[in-house]
Amino acid sequence: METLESVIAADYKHGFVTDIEADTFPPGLSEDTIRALSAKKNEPEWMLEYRLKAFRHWLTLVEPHWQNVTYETPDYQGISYYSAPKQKPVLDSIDAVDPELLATFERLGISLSEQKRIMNVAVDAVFDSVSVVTTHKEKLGEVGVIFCSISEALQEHPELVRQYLGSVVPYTDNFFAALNAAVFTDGSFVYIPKGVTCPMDLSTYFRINAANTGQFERTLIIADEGSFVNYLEGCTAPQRDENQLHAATVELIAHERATINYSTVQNWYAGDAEGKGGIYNFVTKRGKCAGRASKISWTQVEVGSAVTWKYPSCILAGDESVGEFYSVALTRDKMQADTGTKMIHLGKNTRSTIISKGISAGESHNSYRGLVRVAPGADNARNYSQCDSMLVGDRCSANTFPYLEVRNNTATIEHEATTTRLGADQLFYLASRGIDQEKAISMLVNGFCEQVFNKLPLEFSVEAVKLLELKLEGSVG
Amino acid sequence: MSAPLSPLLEAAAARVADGGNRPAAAAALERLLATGLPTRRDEDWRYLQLAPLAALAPVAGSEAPLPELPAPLDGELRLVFVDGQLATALSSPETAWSGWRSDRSVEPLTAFGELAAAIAPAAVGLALPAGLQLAGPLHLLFLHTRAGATLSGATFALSLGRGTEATLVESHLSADGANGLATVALDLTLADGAALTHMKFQELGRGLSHLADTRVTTSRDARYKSVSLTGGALLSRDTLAVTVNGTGAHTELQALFLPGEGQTHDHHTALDQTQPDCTARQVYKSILRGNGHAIFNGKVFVRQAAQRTNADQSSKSLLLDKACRVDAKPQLEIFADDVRCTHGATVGQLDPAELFYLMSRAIPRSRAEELLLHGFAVDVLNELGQPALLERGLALLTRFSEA
Repeated sequence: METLESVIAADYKHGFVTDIEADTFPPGLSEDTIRALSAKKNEPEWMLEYRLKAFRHWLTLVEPHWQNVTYETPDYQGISYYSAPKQKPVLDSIDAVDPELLATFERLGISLSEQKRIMNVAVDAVFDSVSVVTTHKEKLGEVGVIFCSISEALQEHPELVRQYLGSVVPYTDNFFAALNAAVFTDGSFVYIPKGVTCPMDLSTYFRINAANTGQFERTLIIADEGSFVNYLEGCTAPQRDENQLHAATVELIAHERATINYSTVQNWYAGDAEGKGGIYNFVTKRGKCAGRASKISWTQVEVGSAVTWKYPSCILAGDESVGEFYSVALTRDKMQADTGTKMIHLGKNTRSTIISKGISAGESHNSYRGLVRVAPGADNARNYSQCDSMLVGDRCSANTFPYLEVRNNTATIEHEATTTRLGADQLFYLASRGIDQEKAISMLVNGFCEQVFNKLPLEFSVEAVKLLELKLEGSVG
Repeated sequence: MSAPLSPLLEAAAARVADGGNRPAAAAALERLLATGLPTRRDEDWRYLQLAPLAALAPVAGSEAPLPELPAPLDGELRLVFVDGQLATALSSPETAWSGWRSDRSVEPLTAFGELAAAIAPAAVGLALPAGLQLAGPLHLLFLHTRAGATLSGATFALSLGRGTEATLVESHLSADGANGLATVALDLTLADGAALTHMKFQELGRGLSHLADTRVTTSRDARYKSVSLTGGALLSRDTLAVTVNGTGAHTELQALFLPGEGQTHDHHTALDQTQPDCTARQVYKSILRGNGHAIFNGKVFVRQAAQRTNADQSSKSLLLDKACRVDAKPQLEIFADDVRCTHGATVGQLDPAELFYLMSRAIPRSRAEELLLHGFAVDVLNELGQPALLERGLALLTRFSEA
């Protein structure tokens, strides 16, 4: 087993810092900061008003502490609320991007230029607080798909942003949603018009680079009647000793017969083996199946962040609407994750599926927390939930907190949870068949997570498998 | 300046003073006043309507005749509590049990348990010595006889010595028209190798609210089995916490709760596995009618030392009417890796295909429904073992299905 222990130190390969000149606000948060931020982004008056209302509401809230994690409360006045690469004139083409920035994204394996064109994925890259480049705009424009940064959308399509922003996650929703509404700097905006199947997958890549900043991005995706879109999201951050806050808000709206598939591979820096540093990932993600027979599917692979606190949810308002949640959450060292979903059944004949796989290693804490609520009017609602936990080592914990709230007798709700371990005996069995240790671990983990990986787009699926293998190396003994 | 006490807490304080400030009662009152009564903001109470209870202004109430008492079980040792007070006249002769009397005080789990410990007229308890075999079950009857907004509390502590085996039957019954708030706190400890089968029948009238704490502590190779049937009361809350402090112990928790129109039945369980090589099984089933409300919250903790724990938990609810409401929260918190733990929860209604099948065999709909309800509940009822108790359980189910 010693060989296993020796491979434990799988380093965080995204932990480098890029030396780019940045335009950064001094730390601190006040109405003036928000005014300055809004002015900098040349926002319409109503947007500033919205931010200020959110900020004033945020001041009345207390940070929630019911989740099963412990962390040092961030100093909200010690964070810089705006940081942008300095060279930020309008970018028409890839060539205009700072070469150092491009190199950063190349190192991350996110090629903004040729590769992605071949792979047919449009990318919006967000560096610290601002979107630096969005590819494939023209091709998307031909079918009427709008894919741009949310700052740009505020300039070009203010009516759409105004109609939908805060319609799924109002700023009154929770502490971090209020903070995000007040200070969000950028993020992606997607609008798929009626009847359009988006001709390529859309992808956003988030990177925190500057020290002492928080990232507050805002994503808004609207799928109009009968449309379809696959959306992928990835994130990394440099290795730093202090904790950095990431409080994003994502809102999805699916109209009649529209489908949104939202996939995330979250690999923020998780701190070192002693739990020093790392990102606090406090995110509010929610989708609304507004129209009949609409569908929202969340797939997430969570392998990073010091502390994760995230519940991608579906409000199933339309009759016959469908919500799905597929999740793999891996924690190791001193990471803590409290993640899951909420399925709120409001319409008739609505269905939801929850598949959650938690893997805990080291001294980490991994909790699944999920709510299934069936409202009195939601006739014939159907939910199936399965939460499996795998423990690797005897110093970690795996917790399951499902909440079932049923107000209608025609509902059929099933919840199952199991806990097992990745043990020496399984590895021994595979070893006796001539399969080496690394391969054996990857086989067992892949088997455990298969139901979720199957839901990821191919490129992401490959990345996810690699990530898990890398993170689990040496944890088994 | 502190806020004035609610009439309920004031009444509790007055009872403690009237009872001569027994140390255990005074300590319980102190803890109660420090925490106050829970509200819906507390995670463990979020689904319950507690405001009417907290606002209760207790009165002495007028006495009503005693309810009909169940026939004695074979060889039973009976202790009867009337409105919290031990009624020696109705109980088995004192000579039969005074030798085992213990004054160990109970350790409540919730604020309502503290309330029970504060206002209970006396601390009642038994300590059964090592190896003792009782001739029959120990039967605790808690009777409620007073009409008006009454408040009562009772406590009972039971200690089982090494290798002692016993059966505890707990019955909660009330006179017609009795109402108010009935609290009870039990504290059961099992020494190494002891075995306790604990069966609870809560068949109170709709005027009463029943809040019960049961703390169980078990040791090496001990076996604790609980079967709880909840049929009565307007609001019924059972908080059951089992701490397993020895290796090789086995715990079994079962319940059938039947909230009908206007009723809320809440079962909170916490099973804490602290030692290796233990097994546990938990089955909680509810059948709901009208706007009945069932709440189940089952926590299982497997501590780091508790390797090779094997624990299953299942919660199933059957909703017969449109307005029924179920809130289920099964929780696993696991800190050991070599364990096998599962939980499952389902919520559903009677299968129309099954009903149709039975009706196609010329079985009338009402009888077909009864058969299906019986089939759903039978695995819990069968755990009652003794024919007399099984009959009582079946009668409870029949009353519910005919209501």
